[in-house]
Amino acid sequence: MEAVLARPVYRRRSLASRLVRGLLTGVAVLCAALLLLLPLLVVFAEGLAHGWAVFVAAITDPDARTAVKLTLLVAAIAVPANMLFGLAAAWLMTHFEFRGKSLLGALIDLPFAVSPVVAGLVYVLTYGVHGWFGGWLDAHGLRVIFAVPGVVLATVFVAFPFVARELIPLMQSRGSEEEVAARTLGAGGWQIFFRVTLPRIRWALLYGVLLCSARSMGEFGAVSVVSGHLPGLTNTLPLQVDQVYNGGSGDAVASAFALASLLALLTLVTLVIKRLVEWRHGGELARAAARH
Amino acid sequence: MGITIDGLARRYGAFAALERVSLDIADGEFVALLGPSGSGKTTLLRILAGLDDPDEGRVRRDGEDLLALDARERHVGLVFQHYALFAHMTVADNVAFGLRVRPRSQRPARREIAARVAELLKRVQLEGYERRYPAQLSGGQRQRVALARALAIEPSLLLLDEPFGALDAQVRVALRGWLRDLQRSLGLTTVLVTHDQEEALEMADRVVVMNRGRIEQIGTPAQIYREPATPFVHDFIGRSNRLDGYVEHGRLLLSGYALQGELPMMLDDRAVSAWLRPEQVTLAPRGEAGWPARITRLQVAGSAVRVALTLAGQGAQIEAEWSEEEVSRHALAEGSAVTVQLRTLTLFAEGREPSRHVFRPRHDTMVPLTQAAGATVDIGPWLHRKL
Amino acid sequence: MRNRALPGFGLSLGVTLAWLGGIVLLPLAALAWKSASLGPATWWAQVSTRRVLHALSLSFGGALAAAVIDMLLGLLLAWVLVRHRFPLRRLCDALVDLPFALPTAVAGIALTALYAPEGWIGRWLQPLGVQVAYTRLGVLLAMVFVGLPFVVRTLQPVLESLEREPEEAALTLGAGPWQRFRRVLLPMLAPTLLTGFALALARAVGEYGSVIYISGNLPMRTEIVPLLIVQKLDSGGDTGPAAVLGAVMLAASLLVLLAVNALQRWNRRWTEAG
Repeated sequence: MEAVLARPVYRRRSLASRLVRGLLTGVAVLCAALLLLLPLLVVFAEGLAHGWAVFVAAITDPDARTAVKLTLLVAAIAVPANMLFGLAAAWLMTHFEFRGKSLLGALIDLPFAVSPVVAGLVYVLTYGVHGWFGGWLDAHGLRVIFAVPGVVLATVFVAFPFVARELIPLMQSRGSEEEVAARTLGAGGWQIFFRVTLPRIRWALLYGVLLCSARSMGEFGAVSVVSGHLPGLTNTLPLQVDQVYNGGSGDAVASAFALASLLALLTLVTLVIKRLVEWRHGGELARAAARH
Repeated sequence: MGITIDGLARRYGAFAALERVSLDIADGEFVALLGPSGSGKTTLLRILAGLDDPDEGRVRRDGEDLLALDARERHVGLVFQHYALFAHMTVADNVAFGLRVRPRSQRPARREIAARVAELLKRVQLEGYERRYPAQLSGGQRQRVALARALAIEPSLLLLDEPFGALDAQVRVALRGWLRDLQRSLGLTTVLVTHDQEEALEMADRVVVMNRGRIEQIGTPAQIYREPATPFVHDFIGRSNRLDGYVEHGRLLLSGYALQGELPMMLDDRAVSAWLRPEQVTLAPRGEAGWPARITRLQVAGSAVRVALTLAGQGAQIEAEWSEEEVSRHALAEGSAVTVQLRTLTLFAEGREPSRHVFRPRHDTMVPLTQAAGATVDIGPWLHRKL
Repeated sequence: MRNRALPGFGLSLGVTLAWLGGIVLLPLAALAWKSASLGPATWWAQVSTRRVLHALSLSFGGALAAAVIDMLLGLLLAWVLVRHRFPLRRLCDALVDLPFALPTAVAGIALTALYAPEGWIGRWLQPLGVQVAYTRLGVLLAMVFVGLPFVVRTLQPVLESLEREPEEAALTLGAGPWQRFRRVLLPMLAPTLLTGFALALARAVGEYGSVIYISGNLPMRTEIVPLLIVQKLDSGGDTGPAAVLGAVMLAASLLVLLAVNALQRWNRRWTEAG
């Protein structure tokens, strides 16, 4: 009732105003359909264009299966690592005042602004043959670039800020009062974290982890630079898609889309869970407005 | 001529925000719409401003159909509770807005606009603030800018939606008198929406008390306070005591006593609610009869003392307000036994024929019900009528 | 200034700095060091080739154009999603996240399939003489695609929380629909709109996966800078040329980031007394 009162409906609209509204809505829906929906649909359509046999063959190919495993492995390392970082950074940024805090905040966001290719490049320059640690690594028989560790590092870089970015605005808007209250009641640091802080931020945390995983599994540019594209060894699923697509065989494109449809499916699942979390626990997520 | 509101109704889904509201507002009159939240006062205001449309009813201004006009064309000045100033414009730009958006043919020249803005800012005592942004002003200053902005379009009707709601208590009181004087000097027809009775009673020529989408009473501030038309108004305005009673054989049965006095026939055999203000409960003069009571609480509130009483009989709780001098003269304290008189009771009978009656009980003939009826049962006053 | 009522300052500072240092700052420092060690002559030699200049102008020009389009399209989408009620609104709202969540390589091949001459959309454009795939238009389209959610998602919460009262005040003061939009709403939204623009710009400049398939990567025509970096790295040997281009890209992203920060301060200039 209050909501209705707070946002009364303008009921008497002139014909012109209704036409304008209809037109705007129509154009927006058309744009959404053409620009956003079609690319998703075409993935599945092209994947099945040469029939189920090609589709199944593409996703059961040994190299494809290794790629899926590597993708999951990379995400299994990158996501928890970034989650821990996100929690630490959010605790630091929201409960303490210190010099250089705003600089730190900007640095945390930095990977968002860096091109994925540059992200890959900086790791090549650090750990590659001619990089800072290249000689040392070589001498000890270790490989980072063109090997799995490089893929993991690049993925961690690009998925770096997701968790922190979800948590910081939320925790900022809630303030430190409850934590301080718990402290005065004699709770220790970990008790405060697990009993007071975590229950309040769990949905935002899930949300951040979700975005972080989606990015980790789907990353292409950064990983492409550091992986070396060794099928069955350092190819993640997006890289495998790329390689099959450019492979040139008759079913290449359809096979690539078949693999791509796995990733598209992953995207859909991510979006559905994201919607559910927003829908059920929207109030516990920080409004993006707080970030600006 | 003024504004004639006739049978306005507005529903939001199943919720009736306004139910057939009619009201005449004279030219230059200051009318306050007073009521709790959800009473429909803001809906009425928004309809007048053209921000909402009624389902039924008409509004005429000097004979012209106001509802047929778009909000743009109404020349109704609206002042919002939260100012609604344009944050990205300076004070001067805010005030000039209504002049600058006019069609080119009606738009005053640049110099004229500047002069008008300066004059309005002088009027609201904000000279020198032209180039400030709203964020750089205090709440009271912001509201005065909002007022100047609304006055700039030379409205024929000024609407104020809880204009002091977001202000500090002190600023609020100061602005009230100032706005009242300004309104008088402009002779501008004004409708104020408020839930603050003090504000409404102090500022308005007439007060319209609203409840659940209906008008409960229209009257001058004095009428609203002294002669409340409905139990709601009595309860909502000022402090009130309410006792449930029953009228029988020309007597009012109230909390275990039978009171005699002038009672109309139509009230006979009907349940009534009896209302009285704390100042109408007085100590019985020495030697006069009255209602035995016991003081349960004494609370000094400035020069007056609020006294909570338990009446003999069925132990009804009422509140009285006496002067400090009176309390100390009689050496009253919590627990003291006193004899009180209920000067004037306003009786409301509800049901088929709602009726209102002012009743002045005679205390010399009042008797406890158990004696009067010779019965032993004393459950509720009206249960005795078959005895 | 230090609020030490709560424990964990040392631990959280340590974890944050170590992680930030190891994952972000150390590698970026490697890039800065490498490109700085090359000297101006090498820089100039790398940047001034016609192929690189073409790629730079396409990357930055295309991204600017894409961000402008995103700003307009994003404003329309956010406006319609927040202010209008229509069937499939929730679906449209969910679709906005797609370019965010869809892996870039998948988006790239999907856009190519759609806009190739025989594709679902391409076949309708072909008779009109419009070719999207393997042209600069395709690059622009991919950039628009990846940048769109940034504008919409930045605007949406601001639009939702925007008070209706200033618009209503403008209405009662006699302003028409266009005047209300132009004089009241747009100034209120401008900082947010520009923030979204900057974010879309940053994303579009650096985008790789979504662009490289639809662009066709024709030298001097549809090559973007990230592609050149990859090519220079793949050609093996010296990492210097790639480092130079990487440094240019990084500097550009830092500039955009600074601009976003400045915008946010500008955004607050009305709301803070001073």
